[in-house]
Amino acid sequence: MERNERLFEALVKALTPELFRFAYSLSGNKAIAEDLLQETYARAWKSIEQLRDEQSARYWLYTILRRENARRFERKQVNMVELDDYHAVMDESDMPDSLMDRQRVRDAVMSLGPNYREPLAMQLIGGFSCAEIAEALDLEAGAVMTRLCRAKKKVVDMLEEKSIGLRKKG
Amino acid sequence: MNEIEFRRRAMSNPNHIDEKDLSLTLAQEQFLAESRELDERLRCALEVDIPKGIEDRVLLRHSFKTDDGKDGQEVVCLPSQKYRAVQRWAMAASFFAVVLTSWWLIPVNPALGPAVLVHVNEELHHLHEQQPNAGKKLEPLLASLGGRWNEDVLPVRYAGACRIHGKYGLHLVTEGELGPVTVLILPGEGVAATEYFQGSRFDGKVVRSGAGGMALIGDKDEDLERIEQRLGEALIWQS
Repeated sequence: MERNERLFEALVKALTPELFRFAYSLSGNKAIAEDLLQETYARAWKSIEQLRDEQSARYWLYTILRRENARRFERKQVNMVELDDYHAVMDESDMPDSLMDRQRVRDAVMSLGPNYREPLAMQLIGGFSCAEIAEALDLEAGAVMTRLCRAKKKVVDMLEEKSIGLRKKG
Repeated sequence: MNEIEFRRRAMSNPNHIDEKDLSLTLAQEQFLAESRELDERLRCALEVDIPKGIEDRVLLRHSFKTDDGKDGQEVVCLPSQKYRAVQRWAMAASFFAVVLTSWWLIPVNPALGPAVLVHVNEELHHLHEQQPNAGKKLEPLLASLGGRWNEDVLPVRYAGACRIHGKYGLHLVTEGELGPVTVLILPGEGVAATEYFQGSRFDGKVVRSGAGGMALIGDKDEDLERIEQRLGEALIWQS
């Protein structure tokens, strides 16, 4: 029991920031992201006895979080991305250029469909390989590569469109 | 690897391409560099700020959970009519069994008093801490346990989460008549009855609160009953 408590606490302290960011990238809402995180840890605790290899804990927690997010959709009808607090900080006029760029890129990523956003977030936040993402999403590695390519291409296209639009306005 | 395949790999996973193993053209090198730059830009964009104290809230809520994973609440299953008579007999038998065995079984958490005294003595520095906005810090921590705090009734000068008696709990410091009084909120700790304890410098008591326990520790001769009464008004557990 003591070993499990210590392991759990170590996992929470080490992995919460990146898991929160992953949850946010799936939900687009900080309150929902925190709920997802709490549910993920609650489920993880129930099965912590099965966790023999501490190194695999990260992948395991990402998998649980993805499933919790999927359950959220099963429980009730929700928007694909809930951008309430996300757009609350969208007044770009007061932002420095670097922050504005980050905001625009984040906007573009969050407007992707879940099929593209999920593997992209697993790669960029979790640092997982295509093979690992493929296993988690029950896809072929080639399909994951295709989704990642398309996701990035779409983001680039959206940013270019926005930048052309801004230039026309100016 | 043909050009199309190279671009697909470079775009999808640019940091897993080792250019030393490939003889890349200048254009391919440039494409790879741009893909890596894009990945970095995307990664930075997804680095949203983490809400303050989120780890503490997770650990507090974890402590609040009972072993079967329910949020400190018992699940009551209604039996069907035909089993009720049998159940009454079984309950009577179990009652006598419990009475008999409790002669040997010690009440829940006999070591809670000494354990909280050890904790307070280890963290004496909190007694004189004047944390700005301690009440604001307390709000989300307490909310993760299903509680609310009325600061007008009892202001706190320090609020934090820490490991107490092997579980995560809340450590608060408020003002008593003789000096600072420590209040430890211990989610998930079973408290069968009020427990009084004494140390060389402090006296204290452990009482039931919400779905767990709460310890009050103050200087000897501090009126802990008065603090407990005010705590009863300041701390509201949502059912």
